[in-house]
Amino acid sequence: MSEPMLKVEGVQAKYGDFIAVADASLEVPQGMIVSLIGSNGAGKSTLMDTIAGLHKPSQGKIYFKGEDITGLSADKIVVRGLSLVPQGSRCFIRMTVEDNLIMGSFPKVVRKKWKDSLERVYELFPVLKQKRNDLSGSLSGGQRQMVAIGRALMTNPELILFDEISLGLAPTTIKDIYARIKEINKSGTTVVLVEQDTQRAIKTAKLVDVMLKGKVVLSGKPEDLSDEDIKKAYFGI
Amino acid sequence: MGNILTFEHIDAGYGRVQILHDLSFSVEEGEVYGVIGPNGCGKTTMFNALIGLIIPNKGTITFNGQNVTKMKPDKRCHLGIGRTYQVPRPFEGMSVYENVLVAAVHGANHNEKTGREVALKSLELTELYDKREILAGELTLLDRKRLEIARALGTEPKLLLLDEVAAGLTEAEVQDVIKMVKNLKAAGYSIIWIEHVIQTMVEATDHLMCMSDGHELLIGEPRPVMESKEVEEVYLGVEEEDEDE
Repeated sequence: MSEPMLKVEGVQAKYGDFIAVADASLEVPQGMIVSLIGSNGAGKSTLMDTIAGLHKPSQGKIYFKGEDITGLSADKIVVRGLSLVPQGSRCFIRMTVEDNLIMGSFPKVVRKKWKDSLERVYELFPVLKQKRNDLSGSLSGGQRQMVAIGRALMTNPELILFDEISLGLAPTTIKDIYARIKEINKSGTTVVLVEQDTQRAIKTAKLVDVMLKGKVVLSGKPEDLSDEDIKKAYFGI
Repeated sequence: MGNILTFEHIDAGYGRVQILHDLSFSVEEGEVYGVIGPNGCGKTTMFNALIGLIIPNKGTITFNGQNVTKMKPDKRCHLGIGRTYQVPRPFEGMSVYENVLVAAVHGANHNEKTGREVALKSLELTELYDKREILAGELTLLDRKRLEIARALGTEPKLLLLDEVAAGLTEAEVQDVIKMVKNLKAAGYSIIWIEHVIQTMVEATDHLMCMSDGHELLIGEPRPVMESKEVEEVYLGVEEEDEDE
């Protein structure tokens, strides 16, 4: 079996002495969509931030394409091909849509190809091309989420982590964004989805991981996991 | 025993955003009452309405037989409603004891002599007595959570509100919290406990309310509530017909 694209081994991440991720391990095979689910406070977002280099782990190892990236800063991880779409989109609201996207191509290794990358983003999200000169602060929540996804794509990542992209969006917008994520995956990008919309996460993924109190307590293909397995892992009782 | 708290048809929120919709529940004197529900369902807003940080647009809150719906927070605190916060924020440059003393003197309106007695009792109940001279800023997370509870106890509450005290703790520490809550119940306090760590709710509460969209979805004994289809659906969703493919 080939080496996973992402391997997380016994990662612990803390805020001071608050343990957000206790001992998390998971593997993400190349080309797959993997969903990470769990209740509020389970540690999903902190784990994503830790993988992406926004938070330093206090224990454990993170390997991306076989290389140890544990503790590397986010800018060094991005150029290796791993991008994060953060919770709440976090666009520069006083900058135009296009400037936000171009910011995604800031790393030197991808800067030369920014025009090609931009065209690919506009193909995926035509509405962003229409609104390219609008301030991102004037966009709807769903469109801002598209900008955040587009910005992550500007580095041509091999793996994208999506953190709670459906939060606060209308159901039709969520459906639209999920359709785009499937397109992104079909074009060869591996995807990790962190979701509170559990049913959608399970339906979209080829592999599901369930987090509870900072650990991955259940992992498997959706068809192999019963509702009861998921419920037990989710609630821990 | 009678009810120490009753929410009747409460609507409340922030400005034009209504979070609580016709919320009704009651807490019996001396019980531990758990509250769960997915992110954004209104648990913390319920606490805010209960301590008087927000005033409901509709409905009645009755505490210990008295209508407190529109009462100011300091008055409710003096009446006996004590709250902890999700993120403990003690006075870090003061000792553990001094932190609790501030609560006893200003929260419960005691003179210093009585305040000292109340503070020391609160520290004993939270197993912080031996650490009373340590600066609050030097405490571990578990002890900061204990101190958060001790500060609330310093106001001499009849009803203690716990907001996610188990978050971020190790499994052994979560067991310590459960033990502490059971001790507080045995000491006669009525407790409402919001928590995402479900294990605590099953092990330590007498009744459990699951909230959804600002309303009580289900109330009952903890295990039947957790095993119900309604709670499963509100957390894990309902499988929809596949229209995507």
